[in-house]
Amino acid sequence: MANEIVFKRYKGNPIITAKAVPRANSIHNSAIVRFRDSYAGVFRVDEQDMSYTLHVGRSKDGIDWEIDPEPIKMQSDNPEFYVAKLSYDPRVTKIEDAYYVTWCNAGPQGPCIGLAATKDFKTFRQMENPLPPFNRNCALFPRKINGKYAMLHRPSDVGHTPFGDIFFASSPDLIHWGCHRFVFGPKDGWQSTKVGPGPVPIETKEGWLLIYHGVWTSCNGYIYYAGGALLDLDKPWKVLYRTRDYLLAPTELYERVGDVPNVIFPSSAVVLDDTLRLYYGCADTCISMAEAELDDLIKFIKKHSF
Amino acid sequence: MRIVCKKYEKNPILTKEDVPYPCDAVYNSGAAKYKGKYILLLRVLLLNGNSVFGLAESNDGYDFTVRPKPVMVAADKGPFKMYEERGIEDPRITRIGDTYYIFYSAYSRYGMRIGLAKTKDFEKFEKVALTTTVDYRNSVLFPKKINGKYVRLERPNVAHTLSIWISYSQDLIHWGKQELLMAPYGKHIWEDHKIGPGAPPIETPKGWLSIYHGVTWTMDGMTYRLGCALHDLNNPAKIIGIADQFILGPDEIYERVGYVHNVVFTCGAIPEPDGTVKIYYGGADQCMCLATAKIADLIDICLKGKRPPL
Repeated sequence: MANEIVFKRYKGNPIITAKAVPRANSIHNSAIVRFRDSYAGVFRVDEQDMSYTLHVGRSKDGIDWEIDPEPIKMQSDNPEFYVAKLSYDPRVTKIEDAYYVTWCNAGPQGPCIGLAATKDFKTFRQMENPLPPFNRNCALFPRKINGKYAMLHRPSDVGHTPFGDIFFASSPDLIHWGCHRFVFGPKDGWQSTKVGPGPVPIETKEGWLLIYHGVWTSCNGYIYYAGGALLDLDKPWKVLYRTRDYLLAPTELYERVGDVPNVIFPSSAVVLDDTLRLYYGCADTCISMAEAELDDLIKFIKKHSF
Repeated sequence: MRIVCKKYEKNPILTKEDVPYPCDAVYNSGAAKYKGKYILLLRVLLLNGNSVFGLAESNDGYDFTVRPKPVMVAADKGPFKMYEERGIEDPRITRIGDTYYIFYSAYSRYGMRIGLAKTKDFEKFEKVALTTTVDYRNSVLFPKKINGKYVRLERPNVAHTLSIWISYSQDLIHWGKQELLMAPYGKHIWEDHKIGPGAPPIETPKGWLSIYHGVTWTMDGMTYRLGCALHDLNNPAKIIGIADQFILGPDEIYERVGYVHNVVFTCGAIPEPDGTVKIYYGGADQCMCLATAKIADLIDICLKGKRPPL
């Protein structure tokens, strides 16, 4: 397998394909977390009418998955809340005893961020959209920082967004957001068109470990890569390190061939002892995983930083 | 069409010649009354192309004197610095209690966002927070809490119709529950391309009077005009009526010729005890002007208006 520097791909990739869901066109960019003594997740399913829906999945080992055939039915006490027909690219963050889903809730006013909470992956209580359009990628931090909830997000446009910077915001209540800060934007090479937050940041003693996506515009369209950064623990908009070299590039057939070719889209990660297991969408078609030793990953990011 | 605003015959009321330091334009200024005096917080375009805020004072609201030095400039340290490297623009002043809050555009290579500053005396200004993410302009704060919350109208620049939104806050720092209120309207008329909040809303017995700007494309670029809308007093997310006409447009030479031609743009209006309102506005991104109207007339055309919000 090519380009495996710190991350090693799982030999059974892709681990989840459209076969897992009855009406699926594809299943990709999804959020997997540890749940009780097993795993759960919120999955992006592109249905056969090409609506994008969120489905719950469960797994004992994080590799063999059962995906609910029906989309999540969000509950809310506000009739104005909507789950858009295009709901995609979820992230799930565990904060204290609840799991928060952030996703792209692309409703009548364009793509914006949706937010819902669950404790059991059965009942999902929808909350206010935390940010107005246009915005596509949002990951909450797994704990309050200086007493406030915090997020990374990426404002976008209504189309395929030829730009993208990562921003920070924080909130006392998950409803009202402020303290907006710029974190980082595109830079040379594979991340020269746009960057966006990937999985929920992971707290390490070296800082918040952020795996992010970076995009380069080739003569044949966008190519999506995975990079890594370390952010200051107290002020996460301060970038301590950020990879100059990518961590993963689309090289395998399942990453190169699909509905959107040449896409690696990191969207969730779990820590298993000293190992970080990264889940990523491949070519907007299926889900794969790769693993790295946490120490190696942090060393790599520090060594190959701008 | 009924003419509801009367332009002051001695317009412009301020030009760059009135500013006692080198600058290229003075326009889009916030307005307030402080201790019986009229205050304009001036957007002054310096010769380096960046804007700062100057201050002008007047006893009558017509004849203004500009202070010798700017009163608020881009931060040179701290968290605001990187977001204001290209200057600060288009201040809007709202008084709540004894504090004057200023929403302004902070401009940098990282885009445009809304900063909040405050003052109690127009001598000392304190920057409080960066209250939006990129890319925002034109936020106006209501002059009192409504149902226990601060409320503002705002214009995200990223949404695909450049529209007027509302949001709420408990502390003026964190904002949420955004809702789209009013979108551009019509085809080939004055507000079909984009709209945005102008002056902070004015409380009237019939509702909150909002004077906003509307923009249309011509073969020669964009033309900026002003319109008005009336919002429900207890629920400003509810729009009672929107005038079917613009209330102020560029037709004088000082509105037609300047840095950006064919622009009238307001950041502040002052209601008077006699039932009139002084609308301070920038002409052609070049000078400061004044128009007056009867508040009752503005309310009347809002109530008669058939223009739907969305």
